[in-house]
Amino acid sequence: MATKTPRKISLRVYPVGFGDCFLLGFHYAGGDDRFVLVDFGSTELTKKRVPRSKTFVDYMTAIADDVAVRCGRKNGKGGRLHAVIATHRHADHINGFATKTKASGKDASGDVIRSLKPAFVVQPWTEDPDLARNALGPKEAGGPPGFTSLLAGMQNAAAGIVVEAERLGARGVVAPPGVDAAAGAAPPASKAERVAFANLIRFLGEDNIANRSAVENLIAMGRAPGAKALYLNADAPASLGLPGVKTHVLGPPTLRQSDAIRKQRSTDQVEFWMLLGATSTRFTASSGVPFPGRGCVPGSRVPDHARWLRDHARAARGETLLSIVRTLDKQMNNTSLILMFEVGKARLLFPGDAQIENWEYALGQPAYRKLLAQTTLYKVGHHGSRNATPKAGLWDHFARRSAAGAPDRLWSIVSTMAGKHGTTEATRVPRGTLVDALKKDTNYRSTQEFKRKEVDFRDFEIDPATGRVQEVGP
Amino acid sequence: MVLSPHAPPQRTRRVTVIAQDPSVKSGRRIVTAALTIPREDLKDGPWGHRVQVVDYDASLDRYRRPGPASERDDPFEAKDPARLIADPDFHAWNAYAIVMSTLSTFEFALGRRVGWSFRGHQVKVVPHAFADANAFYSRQDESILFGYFQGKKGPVFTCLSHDVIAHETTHALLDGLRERYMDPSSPDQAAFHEGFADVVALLSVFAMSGVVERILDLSGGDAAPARRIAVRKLTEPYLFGGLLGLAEEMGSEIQGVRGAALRRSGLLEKSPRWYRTEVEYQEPHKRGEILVAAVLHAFVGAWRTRLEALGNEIDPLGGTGSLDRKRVVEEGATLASTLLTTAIRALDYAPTVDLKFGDYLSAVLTGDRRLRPDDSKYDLRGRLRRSFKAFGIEPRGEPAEGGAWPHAPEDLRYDGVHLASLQHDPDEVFRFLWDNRKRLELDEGAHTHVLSVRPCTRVDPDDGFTLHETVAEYVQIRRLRGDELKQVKVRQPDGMPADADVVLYGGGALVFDEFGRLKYHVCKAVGGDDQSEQLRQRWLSGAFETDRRQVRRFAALHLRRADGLPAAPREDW
Repeated sequence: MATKTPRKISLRVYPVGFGDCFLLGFHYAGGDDRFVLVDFGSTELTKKRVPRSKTFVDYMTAIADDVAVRCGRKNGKGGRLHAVIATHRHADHINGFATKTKASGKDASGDVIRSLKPAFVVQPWTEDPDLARNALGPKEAGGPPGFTSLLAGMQNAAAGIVVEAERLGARGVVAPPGVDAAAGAAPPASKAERVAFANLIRFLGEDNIANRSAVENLIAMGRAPGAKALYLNADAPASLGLPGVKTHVLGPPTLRQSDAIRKQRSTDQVEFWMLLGATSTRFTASSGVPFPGRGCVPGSRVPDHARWLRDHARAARGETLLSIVRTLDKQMNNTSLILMFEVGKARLLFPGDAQIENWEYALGQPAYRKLLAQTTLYKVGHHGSRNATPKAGLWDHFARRSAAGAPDRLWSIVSTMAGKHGTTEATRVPRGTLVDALKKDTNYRSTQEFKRKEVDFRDFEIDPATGRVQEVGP
Repeated sequence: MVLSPHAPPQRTRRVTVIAQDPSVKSGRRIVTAALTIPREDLKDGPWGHRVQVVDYDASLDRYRRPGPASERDDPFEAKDPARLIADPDFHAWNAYAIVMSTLSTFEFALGRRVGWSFRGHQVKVVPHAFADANAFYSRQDESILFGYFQGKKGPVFTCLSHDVIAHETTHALLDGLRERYMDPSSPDQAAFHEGFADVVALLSVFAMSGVVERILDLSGGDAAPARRIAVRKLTEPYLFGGLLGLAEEMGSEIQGVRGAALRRSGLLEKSPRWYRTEVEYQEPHKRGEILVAAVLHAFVGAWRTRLEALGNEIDPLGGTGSLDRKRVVEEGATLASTLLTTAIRALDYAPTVDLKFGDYLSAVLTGDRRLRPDDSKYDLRGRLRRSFKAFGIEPRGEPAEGGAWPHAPEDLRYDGVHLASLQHDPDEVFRFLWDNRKRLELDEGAHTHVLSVRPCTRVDPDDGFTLHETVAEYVQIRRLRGDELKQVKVRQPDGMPADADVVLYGGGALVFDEFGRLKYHVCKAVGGDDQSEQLRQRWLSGAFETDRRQVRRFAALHLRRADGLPAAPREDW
C-alpha cells in the first residue's frame, strides 16, 4: 500500500500589518484536509488600528473566523484546526491568540482559534512552562522552575522601558552631539526628533511586552484533552500527525547546541535579564522610588547650573534604553522556531524571526545546508530585516533562484509594514537591498501590497510532485 | 576644629567613606575607611574645583536638592554605616570623596595636575543617574553616571561601591591623559582601558588597611583572628585566598556592573594561552582580566617577599617567626599604594596611540626604575616581569635594559630650542621634533601635532627623592587610500577597496630630564608591520562601517558585558 501523502498543499497569507499570519493546508485524498496555522499576531495593522483598539480586535477576529471557515466550520459550528505553531513570543506573532477580556464579552480571535481544538500546539523549547530556569536545553528539570520566568523578566524589562521612554519622550531625550558644557546650553531637540526617538523605543518595547492572555491560551490549547504540546529545538523529531510530510526543526538551538559554536555566558544573561526585569517593575511603580520626598523636584525645575547635565543624562539614558530594547528584541527573535516542511519536492521554509545567531547552528550542519538549498517557498525571515536572511550561508545557496518566467522559480513571501523599524538605511525593515534581491531572483509577494480594509488574503498552491508554487484566484 | 587665622593652611582632609561596598562587613558592621583628599571650599552638592555632584535621575526625571555643605572636615565621621547607606547626601559625598581621592592619587603619581578629557575643569558626577545595573563614564556628557537597581535584599547603589567609582574615574582620567586610547585599534588597546581601570580600582581598595584586614580574616577563615601570624603560614596561596574571599564577599549582585576581574584573576591559570590564543579573551573585558591577573600576582608575590624579609629579620633561621597582624596589614596596604603609584606613573612612559600590554609593561619598568632605582625592598620590577611573562606578555622595550625602553639617541639637536619654553610650550616641542625628525624617525609626510607639554615633579614614596621631568605627547596622522597604503609599508587588508579612506595614527611620548635633554622617546610609527596588523583587525571588526556609531562607548560596552551577548557581524545586505 502506498504511503498516504498530501496531493496538494495550500497556503493562505493574511495581511496583518507588522506581524505574521499564515495558514498552511495539507490536502489528502478523500477530502482529508489538515490545516496548520503558523503565527497569528500584529503590532500594528495601520497607523490607527493598534492592539487593544476595537478595530484591531475586530479585524483579528475576522481573520480567525476566516480560518475557522477554511477549517470546515459551517454556520458557526464544527471545524478543526490540525496544528497551531507559535514561532516565538513576540506580540507580532502571537497576540492574535489572546482571548476575550470579559467572560460575558464577544469571542476574541484567540477564543475562535481555541474552539477549533488544535491537535498540536508547537512552540520553541524555551516556552516549555515546566522547564528549569537554568536549563540549557529542553526537558531539564531541577533548579528553580520556569525558564519562561526568564522570558517574563525580559518582558518586564520591556514594560519598564516603555514607561521610561514615554516619560523621556515627553521631555526631550535627544541632545545634539558635539556641544560641550563650555559652549553653553545645548539647543533643545526638535519635537519631531523627540517623538521619533521615543516612538522607536516604544514600538520595540511594546512588541516585547508579555501578552499574558495569548501565552496562557497557547498553554491551555496544548494541555486540552486530545491535544499535544510540542516544545521543539533544532534536531528534535517533530511528529505533527501529517503523513507524508517531514517536518524538520532547524532552530532554535538549545544553549548547549549554540555553546558548541559560540561561547556564550548563558548564566550571566539569565542574571542580567532577571535583574533588569526586577528593576524596571520595581522602580517604575511610585512606591519603589528611592528617597521619596527628600527635597526632590521634577526635572523641569532643575536649577540652571544642572540643566546642561540634565539634558545630557536624558540623552544618555535614551540611548541606553534603545540599546537594551534592541538587544532584548534580538534575543527574543533568536528563540524563534525555524521549520522546514518537506513534501515530495516541495520545501517550505518558515523561519519566524530567527536572526543570524539562531541560524548559525543549522547553517553549520551540512545536511541542513543541503536541505535548505532546495527550498521552493521561503517565508522571508523577520519581516525582511537585514540580519534574518543569512546571505552567504542561506541565500546564495538557494538553487531555485532564477530569472522571471522560469517554471521552478523560488517563491518568497514577506509579511511586513515599512516605516516601523529602524531609522537609518542600514537598520530599516524591510531592508531595501534584500527586497531588491528577492524581486530580482524570486517570485516575490509582500503583504504590504494587499489591502487592509477588509481581510484581503492571498492563496497559493504548491504541487508536491514538482515543488512548484502558483498563486490562485484573484 | 577651628583653626587660628595664623595657622598654616591645611591642604588635605580625612573623610569617611564606605571602604569597599555595603556588603563587605567586619562582624555585622559595614567596613568604612578614612580617605585623605584635598581640602577645598565646597559648595552644596558637593561641588568643588574638580568635581560637581548633580543628583539628577533620568529614569524618574527628578532632581534632588543637595543638603547644605558641612562646615566640618569629615561630615559623616563616626556615624552608623547602616544609616549612612540610607542617606542620599552621604551617597553624594561618598562618590565625591572617592572621585577626588582617585584624582589625587593620579596627581601624586604623575607629579602634576591631571585634567579631564573635555574643556571644562569639573567632571559631573551623578550618583543616582538611572534605574539600571550600570555605571559609566561618558566623555560626551562630561560625566560619570551611576545607576541603582533592585537587588535581592533591597536597592543596590553603584555609587556606594569604591571599586566601581574608582574604576569609572580611572576611565575618565585615562581618557584625559591618552585620548587616543578610545579609538578602535587592537584588542589590547580596548582591553587596556578596562584592565587598567580595574588595576587602579582594586589597588586603591587594597591601599586601605580596613580592607587588607578583611582580606587577612578571610585568608585564615578564623572566627577570632590571632594577633600574630606565623610567617610560614603567609604563603602566596594563603594571601590569594583572602583576595578571592573578598571577591566573593563584595556585592555579587553588582557583578554585572564591575565584572569579575578580582575573582577571575585568582582563578585564571598562569598560562600564556589566554593572551595568545584563546578567542574568548579577545573581548575587551576578558582580555583586561589578564592584565589584572598579572598585576595582582605580582602584588601578592611582592607582599609575600616583604613579609618573608621581615620574618627573617626577627628569626634569621626562618620557619618559626611570627608577625604582628597589624604589621602584615600595614605592609600590604603600603605595597598596594606603591604599586598603584607605579602603575599610574607608567602612563607618562606609554605610547600615545595603539597601546599593547607589552608596551605598558615596558612603561612600568621604565618609570619605576627612574624613580625607585633601588628595588630591593619588594623586587617589584622582577615580580612584574615574571608575572607578565607567565601570562604571555613580554616587554616591548630593550632586553639589555631589563625590558625598559631604550634611551633616546644622544646626538639630537637642541640648538634651536629654549630650555624654559620646552617645559611648557607645544610650539617649542614641535620645533624640537621638526629639527630632529630624521633622527627620531618620524614620518615626514604626516600631519604632526603636539598634544600636550607637562612639567612634573615626582616623589619617590619610599625615600621622598624628587625627580623633575617634562613629558610631551604628539600624534602623527596620515590619511591614505587603500591602494596607497604600501607607501608606508602597510598591507591593504583583504577585501578593502582601493579607494577606501584610511586614517593611520602614529605618535609618541617624549620624556625630557630637568636639563631639557630627551631621555626617552616612546613612539609608534605611522606605517610598518604593527600598523598592518592593527589595520587588519580594525577592518575585520567592522570599524570601517560608517553607520556603526560609538557615541557612548562605555555605556554600550558595559551593557554588552552584562548581557553576555557577543557582538555578531552584520549580514552583508
